[in-house]
Amino acid sequence: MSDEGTQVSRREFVHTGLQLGAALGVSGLGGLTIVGEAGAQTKRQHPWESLPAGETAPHTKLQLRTIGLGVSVQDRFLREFERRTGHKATGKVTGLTPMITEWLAGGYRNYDTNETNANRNAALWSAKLLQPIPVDKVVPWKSARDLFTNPKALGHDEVSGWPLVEIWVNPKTQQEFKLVPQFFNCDSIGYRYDLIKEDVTSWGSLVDPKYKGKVGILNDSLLTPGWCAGYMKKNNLAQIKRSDNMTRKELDTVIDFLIKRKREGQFRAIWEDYGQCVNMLASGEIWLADSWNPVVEDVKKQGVVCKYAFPKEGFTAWFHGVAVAKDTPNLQAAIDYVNFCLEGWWGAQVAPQGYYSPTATCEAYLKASKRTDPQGRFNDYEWWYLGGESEEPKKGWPIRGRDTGSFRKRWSNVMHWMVWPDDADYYAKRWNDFLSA
Amino acid sequence: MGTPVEQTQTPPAKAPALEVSTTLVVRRRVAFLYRHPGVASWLLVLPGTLWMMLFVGIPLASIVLFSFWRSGFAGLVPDYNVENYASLLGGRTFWRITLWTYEVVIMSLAGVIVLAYPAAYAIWRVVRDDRWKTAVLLLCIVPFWTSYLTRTITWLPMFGREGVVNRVLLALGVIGEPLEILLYTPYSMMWGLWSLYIVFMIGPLYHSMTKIDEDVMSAAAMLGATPVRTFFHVVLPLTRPGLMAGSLFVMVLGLGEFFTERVIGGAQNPMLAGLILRQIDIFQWASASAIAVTLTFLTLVTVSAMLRVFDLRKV
Repeated sequence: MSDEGTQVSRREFVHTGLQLGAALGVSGLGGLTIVGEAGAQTKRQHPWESLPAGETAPHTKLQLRTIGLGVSVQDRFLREFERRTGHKATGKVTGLTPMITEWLAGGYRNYDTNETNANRNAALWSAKLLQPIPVDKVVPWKSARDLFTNPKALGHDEVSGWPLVEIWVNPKTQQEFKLVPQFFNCDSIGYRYDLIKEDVTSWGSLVDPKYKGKVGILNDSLLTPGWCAGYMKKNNLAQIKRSDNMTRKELDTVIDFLIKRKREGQFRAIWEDYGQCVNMLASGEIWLADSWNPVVEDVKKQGVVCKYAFPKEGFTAWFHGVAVAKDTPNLQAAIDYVNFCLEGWWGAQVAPQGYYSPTATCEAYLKASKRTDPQGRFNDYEWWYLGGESEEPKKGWPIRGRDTGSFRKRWSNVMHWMVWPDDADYYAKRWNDFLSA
Repeated sequence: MGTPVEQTQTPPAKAPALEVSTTLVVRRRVAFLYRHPGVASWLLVLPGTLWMMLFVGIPLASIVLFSFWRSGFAGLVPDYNVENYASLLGGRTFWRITLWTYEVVIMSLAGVIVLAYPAAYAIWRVVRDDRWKTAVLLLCIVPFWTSYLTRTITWLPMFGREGVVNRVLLALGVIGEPLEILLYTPYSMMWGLWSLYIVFMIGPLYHSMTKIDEDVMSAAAMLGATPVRTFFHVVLPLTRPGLMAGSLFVMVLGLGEFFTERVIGGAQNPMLAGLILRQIDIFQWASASAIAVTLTFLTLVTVSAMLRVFDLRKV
């Protein structure tokens, strides 16, 4: 965190100017003069740290070219990065598979970073398109959450080794990142509480004949059979060893079950993308869907009573990270970007969408903001991380706070992580059987 | 700029000679091409051929090649095999989806023909003023200035539970509950496809109709043919080229359809092109290539069969 607005002595002023000049790669007296005159009002140790409003770091010759989903590659984020660091920033918004495909097809030369889902990043790592990032280059990582460093942490999966196995080159020594975690969350069920009139507490509701013709499910050959397997496993409806990575026989059982439900008219529609799910829930086309936290938050913003379920079988967990291209000519800008995403401001920006930050640095930003609670009683940290239900719930709290409660409550209830299954091709084959049934 | 007088006084010394020699060279070359029309034809075809080879031939050849490879997690492995085809053609799902794809395409074609004929006929015969003809044709074409995706998505607020159609029907008391059949069903998908493809039929049909000699129509009327008889015995046969051209458009577009099925059809009844996307989603490029090759082959067979019925080249 920076000490915004701190007045500094002339010696500190020059010292800071030198540091900043060096960090920005500005050489020569001219560069130092510019920094000394225009910049250093604050004691910034690194170019990615916060900068008082109205100030802009001098331009560097570096640039950042990133690619990712619309949730992480946003113009407002890139402009803030530019303002702080002086590196020119451009971003391409695309889908999960296209961003990997583009890199594998040789497009990685046009980018410095890839902001992707951990289960797909393994393809880039296997193709040797990424470079490992030393842990000491990522300064905010000293505030990393246990989940990303400790195999005993709440939410860690001992069987798959997730999430550590996809973060670190060597999960035991934890010296180099394959993928630096950027944001993460758990998926569950979004439902129209006003139409259903009760809380949904199980993945089984999606296949419950009670909601026949009112259910939407995601068109994803890996994720949808995954939650269904978890539901069947936890409720002893099938013998399944790992719901995240099934054998062919186990998958057959799950798909056959889904086909039976489909033929009985259980599913109103099979949704394809974020906006489609928001529209379907908001318009009442569907009453419930396997969904994502931000989808539910966006439906709520339309004044619709929508909730995010706390399934008794557990959530399905995932994380996104920033991977750095192997031969980037802008390595320092890429590392600055990684640091920028974990510095706290970025994490605080995505919290109101329902996402968590892998470092605790966003806490200070969120505690200083009260944008979410309609009554203004809880700050944003209390809402998004403590669930609005802090250890001593405040009297007169009109609503319960964040759906599914606190970070601790959510992460103590993980069904499985969204790993890449060993037999993905068979998943796709059987999913096509389901779709065409 | 000099004055005319200056220009006549100081003519450029070398330019005319150069001009004469250039003109001579061009004339000789043109004469050579006249004497060898085969060479001229080849030269005319060359740019297009090169373009097609570069941007169609090479990608297509690559896809055929990849379809015999294997998908690794991080790319294609040149490990030649026919497993992709064996797995695809050996499963019931592929044939079920192929059958469904053809059902959808044939239904789309039938609907579009039924809707487009009266529309084209009306523009040709009913609208007399040329300005109105242009205006009506523009009305048909203008929606096609927006993207295909946008036009498809536009049906959502029209047909949804709280969409325009349901609201109107509810307000009129025709229905008591919103109709769910209007969206995320094969029927809604069909509406979407008809609206998407109709202009590809109206255009060629109208063009064919305008080629019909007015005397032929007058002769039919003078010989006592009713308008219906004239339509079936004169207009219909003479507009076969337009019908066939429009049908080819609809057929080819329909076989490659993937978006309407997903967005309007609720993705519960996938079509062949959608299968390719599903494989790409999980990096199975080899099997995606095999499906793409099979779909291309089916499209070629379909188009060839249609051209055997009526060869557009003979028009």
